[in-house]
Amino acid sequence: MSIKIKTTDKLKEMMMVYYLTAKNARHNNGKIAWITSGGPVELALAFGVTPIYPENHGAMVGATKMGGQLCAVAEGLGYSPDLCSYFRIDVGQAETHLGPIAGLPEPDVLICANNICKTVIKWYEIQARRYNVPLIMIDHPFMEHEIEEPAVKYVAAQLRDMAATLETVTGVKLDQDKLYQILMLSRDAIKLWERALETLRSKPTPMSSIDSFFHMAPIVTLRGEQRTVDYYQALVTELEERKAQGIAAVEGERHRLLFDNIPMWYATKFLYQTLAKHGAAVVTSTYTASWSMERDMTEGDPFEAMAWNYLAPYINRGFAKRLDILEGLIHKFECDGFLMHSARSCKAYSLGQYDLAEALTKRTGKQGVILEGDIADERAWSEGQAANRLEAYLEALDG
Amino acid sequence: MAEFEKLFALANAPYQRNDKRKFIAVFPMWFPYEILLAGGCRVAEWWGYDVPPTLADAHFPTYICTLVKSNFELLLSGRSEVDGAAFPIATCDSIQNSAGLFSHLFPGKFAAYFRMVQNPDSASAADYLRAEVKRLIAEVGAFIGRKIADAELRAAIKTANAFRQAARELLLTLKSGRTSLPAAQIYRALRGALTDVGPSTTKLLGDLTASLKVGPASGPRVMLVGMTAEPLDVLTAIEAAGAHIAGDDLGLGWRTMSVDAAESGDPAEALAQRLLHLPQCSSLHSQKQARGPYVVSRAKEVGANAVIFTRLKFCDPEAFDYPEIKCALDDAKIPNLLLERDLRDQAEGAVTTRVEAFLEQIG
Ligand code: SF4
Ligand code: SF4
Repeated sequence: MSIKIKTTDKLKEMMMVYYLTAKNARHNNGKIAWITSGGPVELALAFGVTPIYPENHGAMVGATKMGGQLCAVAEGLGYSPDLCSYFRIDVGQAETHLGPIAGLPEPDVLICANNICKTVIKWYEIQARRYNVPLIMIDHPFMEHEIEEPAVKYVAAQLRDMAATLETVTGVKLDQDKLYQILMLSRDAIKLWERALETLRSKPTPMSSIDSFFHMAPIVTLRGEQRTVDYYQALVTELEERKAQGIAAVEGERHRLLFDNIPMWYATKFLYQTLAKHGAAVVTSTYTASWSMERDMTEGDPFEAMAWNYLAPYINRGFAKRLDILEGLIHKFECDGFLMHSARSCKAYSLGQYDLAEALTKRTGKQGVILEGDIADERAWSEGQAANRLEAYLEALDG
Repeated sequence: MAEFEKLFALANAPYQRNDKRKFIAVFPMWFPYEILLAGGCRVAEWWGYDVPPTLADAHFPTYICTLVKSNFELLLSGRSEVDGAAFPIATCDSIQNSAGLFSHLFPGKFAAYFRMVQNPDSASAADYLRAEVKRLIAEVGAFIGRKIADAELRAAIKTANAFRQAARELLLTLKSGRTSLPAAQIYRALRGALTDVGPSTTKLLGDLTASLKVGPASGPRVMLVGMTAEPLDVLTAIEAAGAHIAGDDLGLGWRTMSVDAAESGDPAEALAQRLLHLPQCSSLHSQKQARGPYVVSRAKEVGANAVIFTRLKFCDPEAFDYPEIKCALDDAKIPNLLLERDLRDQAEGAVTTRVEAFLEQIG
């Protein structure tokens, strides 16, 4: 049995408070913005809005195995079962107010950044019509290779437009100092998150990436807030201690793996346990590494710095860049192999994985396995089939 | 050979090289292929084909549409003689990721990508789009080994406009009445023409239109909605059931043919402006106009009293729009039917029966 990460209790409490506050925001005359996971939340926070992340909610629903039920509601309204399950869950919760937190509070404004996929564009259009609220669209051109200056300028200009729209929605003027403070907090939290992930380089790893899928919730939903900085400070401290004491996330760690794509939220326990049986730990993932910061947003023009960072995530990059990132992670975390989740919800993440896997093996000599499933719709998952594939792969790794 | 046979031959062998021009496979849609034409390239817009995805299956998961897969099948099978491929990144996540995959699989070939803006209402969209058009002009110039002149771009815009005009005239015959050539063949001819956008296919389309006899149409008037109406055997089933296909809101159809670019002035600006004034499309974001009312108005325009959605399996953009369009059609009391298929499907009994039952209801 591995020793539990204590900070996890704090995480649960923090997320509960976050959702409770959000649910009451209306009663306190607050404004609620629904925002995509790659959305420029710092700017929204500068207007005092409460951000809500339907994707994070989708993950929570997935983890509690309620995804299939809510997806079915959307399907009953005519949405194809082939569409992203986060979207279907969102439609389902809006219709029924079912789910672990009995549905999301209704939005006053929607903020959509398409730096993760095209799905969110349609998703937010649909929800903007349902709730009859303004939709702020921040178009992020796909960066096939390096980040291009015209795209940075374009995104920055849209962020300035977004500020103007939020002034109208909230009746609050943009306070540059407040924005600066938020950007600072965001930067500090991201740096601490990166430090937390860095500790997974040590052998044995003090935390599994499967745990970090959950610990990333504050960096997604609460960046730009002091409590998030405090939370990651506590996590880093604990992980450093675990590292110093040689506490392993997986007893007898023998294999170190990279994970690619969003996890199958309903099956993380299965994944952890199956891997642990073979002494395998997931030590890095493209997903958790997506919330990083290559440009300090407190330096220079904040709109351009935000634009640059929000164009950079893994999922907004082309095949060649993805391959470089994967290879970099394999080396940096000294992985022996990799797991790819081919998630039928997410074409943006999954298309190309077969060739990425082959190319990655060619470049690094490490073998990988691809598991078919879905992010939050447990109906698209066959545990038996996944177990067979994974066991066969792990046995080969065992040698 | 009759005009339509020449166009069918193109449709059947979209990969075949017929001259020395550089040959580029363009994935749908909204790629400003005028730039490729200006560079003297052959533009072949590939809308997917009925080929078994034997090789493509090793590169694509099961949940990717057959349009993308079959285009790659043509490339992977070695049947293709293309010098490169072009990807309009904004169409969907599948096409977006295909661009880099193509470069990986075919490192020696030219790969062009184009990022249509998804925030056309932003004041900065026009500037970005113009810059994107100019980037593409420079990249195609580097590929052909010389700078592309404005005069060449203007000439290419004229060529593409004439092609679209000819395509529109052909499609409008459907609105007028029952054509001597079945609707399936008309769309097949258009798919063939799109494999070589230019004066020769423009002429073939024009000759085909002139050769058609249009008689009175009876039965329900159906409008098709989707990216493509393929596999076209459904059109045959619709006509066999006594209905008339009066028009469409299809990517491989009216939608991409309906807007032209200005033939004078700065060509980069003309191309950008055309793209900023496209009709409603599942691949484009617009705050101002939802697609539902647009499809209703388009149905009225072609005089349709029924709509059939011809959706390709795993086509996210069309799948997202469907419930909203369906609601708008229901409100407007326009009966509608969703068919979801893939390019390899045959009009098996079940589909034909559904089409017949639907059309019978309308009477
Ligand atoms: S899971 Fe994929 S498709 Fe769905 S919202 Fe996230 S990035 Fe987009
Ligand atoms: S049919 Fe749909 S999913 Fe397939 S390439 Fe076209 S837009 Fe994309």
